[in-house]
Amino acid sequence: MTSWADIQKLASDLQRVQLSQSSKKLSEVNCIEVLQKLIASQQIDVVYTRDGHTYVTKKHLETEIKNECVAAGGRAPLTDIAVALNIDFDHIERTARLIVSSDDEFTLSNAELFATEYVHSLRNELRSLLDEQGHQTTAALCKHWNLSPELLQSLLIEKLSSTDFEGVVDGDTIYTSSFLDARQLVLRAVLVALTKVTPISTIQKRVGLTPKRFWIAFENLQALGEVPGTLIGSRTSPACSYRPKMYDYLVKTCVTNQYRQNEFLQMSTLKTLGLDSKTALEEVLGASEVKKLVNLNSIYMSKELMEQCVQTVQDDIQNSGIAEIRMSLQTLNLPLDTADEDLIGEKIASTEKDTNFSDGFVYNNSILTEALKSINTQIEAKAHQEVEKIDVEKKKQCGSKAPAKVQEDTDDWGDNKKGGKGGKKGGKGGKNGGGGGKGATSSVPTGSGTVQVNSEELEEWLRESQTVPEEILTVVVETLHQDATSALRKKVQEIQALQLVVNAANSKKSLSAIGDKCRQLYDSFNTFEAGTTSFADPLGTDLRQYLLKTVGVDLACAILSYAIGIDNVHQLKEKQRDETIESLPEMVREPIRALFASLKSTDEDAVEKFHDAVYDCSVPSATSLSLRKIDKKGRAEVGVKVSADLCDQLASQSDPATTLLLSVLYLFSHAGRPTTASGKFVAQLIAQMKDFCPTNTFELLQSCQKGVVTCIKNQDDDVAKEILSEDIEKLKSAVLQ
Amino acid sequence: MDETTKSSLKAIPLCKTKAGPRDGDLWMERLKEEYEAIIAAVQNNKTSDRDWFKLEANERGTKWFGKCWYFHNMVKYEFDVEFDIPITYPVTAPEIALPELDGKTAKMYRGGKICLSEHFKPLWARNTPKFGIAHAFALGLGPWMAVEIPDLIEKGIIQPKA
Repeated sequence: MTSWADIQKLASDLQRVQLSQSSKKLSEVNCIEVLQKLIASQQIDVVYTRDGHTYVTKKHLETEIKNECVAAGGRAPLTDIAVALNIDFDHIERTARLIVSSDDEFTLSNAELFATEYVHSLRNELRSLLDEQGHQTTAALCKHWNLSPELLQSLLIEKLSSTDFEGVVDGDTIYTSSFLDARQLVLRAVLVALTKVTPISTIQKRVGLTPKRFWIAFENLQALGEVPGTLIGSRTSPACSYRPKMYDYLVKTCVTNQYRQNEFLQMSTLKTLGLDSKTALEEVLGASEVKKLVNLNSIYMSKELMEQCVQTVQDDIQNSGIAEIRMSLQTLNLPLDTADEDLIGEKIASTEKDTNFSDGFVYNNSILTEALKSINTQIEAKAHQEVEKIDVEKKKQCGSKAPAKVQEDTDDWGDNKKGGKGGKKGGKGGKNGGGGGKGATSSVPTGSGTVQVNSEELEEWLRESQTVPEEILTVVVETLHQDATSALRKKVQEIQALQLVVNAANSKKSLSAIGDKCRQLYDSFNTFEAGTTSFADPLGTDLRQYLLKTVGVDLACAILSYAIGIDNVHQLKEKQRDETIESLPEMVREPIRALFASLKSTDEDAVEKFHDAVYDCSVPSATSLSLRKIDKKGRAEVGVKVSADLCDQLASQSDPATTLLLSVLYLFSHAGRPTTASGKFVAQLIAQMKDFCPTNTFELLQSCQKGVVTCIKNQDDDVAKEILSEDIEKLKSAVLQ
Repeated sequence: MDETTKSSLKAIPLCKTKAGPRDGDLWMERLKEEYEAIIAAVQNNKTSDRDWFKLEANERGTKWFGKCWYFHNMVKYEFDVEFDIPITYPVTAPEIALPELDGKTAKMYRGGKICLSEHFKPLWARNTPKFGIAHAFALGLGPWMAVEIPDLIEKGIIQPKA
């Protein structure tokens, strides 16, 4: 049990303990504080570790860094040292710099510390590498050892001594002497073995040396007299080559043999062999021999061979007049190119008379002559075409020189007149109407002087004629162009002269035909006029008026055509016709004018006036047509002709109205009362037919006439048309029976 | 709780008797255990050169007083310390006071009683009756001073005694 005395005793124990000295322990904090004090008073120079648990004096840090570097084989990155020592990199770097500055055995590069041990190891390794391979580039070493070139240079290369290896440092490569010697021997072997020109770059690649080392080895061999060849080109040039003496010998042998065998030498072969120039060839063959050679474009050949070629071609020319050089020389089996053949051709052309050369062909002038002969037909055809063109041109030009308001017909009437004029002049004296036309005629050129053969045309003809090879066609065309043109012009002139003669004959014929036509028309007019007298007025008068307007007009036009010599008056309009009449000579003009005036008359004596006018026109002083009124017999003959004509027309006619008219006219003609009329007279004429027409025919006529009128009035009445068609057929059959 | 506090706490013997000042003989037993614990704590501090307080008590052991000090930047700052044993001790922890610092810090009640951390009371409550005065100093006053004294020094509120 505890008592107060125990408590008091404990209290005094407490006091005692509290009064006792505490042990003087330095805690971690105390240590830190002490050190901080020392550091603050600069009595110590220490570096803290990263974790702050350790202090290291700077002196000791140097030792630590050195030890780390040596422990890592003489090479340690500062970062690794910093990690190993657990000290900030800055301190490590600073201390490393101090080490390097104070100790030659250490080097700092690229944040790595190098000791001499490392250099020794590098040296040993280099020695073994060189022993193995004979050479090493600094680049390969840098890569192998992971060093910068500058560091390698400073650490190792610069310090290489003769004790380290037997060799040479050449730029960035280290060679052993044995390696260089071996390469030199290889070079020697290559140079001796070569028998053709070889680029130095190839040899160098084979030997496996840098250019500098290569040339050193080469020079060494040259000094020893062991280079059996020469260099071509500058050493620095990429095209520098080595030419072995053996090669020259072989080339000479080859060229000489080839020349002896073939009598020619191809330049391409010589170039391949390196004999580019004549000088080089002279060195091989000899100057005297080279002088004997003929120099073509791609080949050297002997003079004898050249003469043989020329002779071969000349033989072919003699046979056929033309020779293709390539084909001719094929038998000689020479490797000639186009330029060579051309040179041979030019030589032949220059030496032979009447011989030409073009595009690989040599030909005599006789070829040209034959070629021209072969296209005679085409020239003739073209001459005919040109003459036609000239005629058309002349017509156009005549028309342009005629008085104003010229139209086509006028132009035709003028040209025709020109053509006919020749004939007319020949046949009928003063009938050359149309002074303007005359004038136009004299001023129009013949045109043969401007005619020429087109080059393309000539080429086409020659090609078709196949007398000239295609290859020289162009040259022949150029040569023959003038001759062909002259031949064409000559032909044109011949044709024109012939035409003049023919035109004259034709114009005579046509004039005669027009005269016959006038007579026929006048006979018809008289016959129909006689027919109209059988009709009482007003029908007769109307029919006569109609006769004047139809046959009368035709007759007047025919007379005018006769007067001008061209049968185209019916194509002229009234104004043109009047102008034509005005251009006639006075003796002809007045009667014809009166003739046309009589046609317009509506008097009772219009027909008489017409007859008078016809008479006046046909007197010798006018047209000399001598148109006379036909007698009864003549009228009967005309009537028969008219009937026959009407019968033919009726048989072939299908139009109801026309069929009806023809039927009426035919019946009247058949009844001896030939007449001419239009459809409007049909009704009146039918009324006149009752006396001489059979009843059924008459009835048919009447019903057809009604039907025609109905159909004309009612175009859509198909029934009426059908009935009319039937009636018309019946009428036709009845009339033609 | 830092390692230093832990290690020093481990070195203090634990009390067994659950008795307060009014528990007669049991109080004596408790008082004996307290003295033994304090002695052990001081010895330990002395040995580890971390001696930081000096205490004595009245006859009954109900009033305690003494000194405590703190080294900051190698300067000793000493303070009077006192506390009474509460009636409900050891269930209630003693309220340790530093009268000299009364009103100088917010971490202090009126009369200079230190304001302990939130961890202290639950810790004391869990370890009743094992924890005693020595434990209260190690767990309460010691950490309080380690935080507050440097702060007061930095603010210039307290100066070292000459």
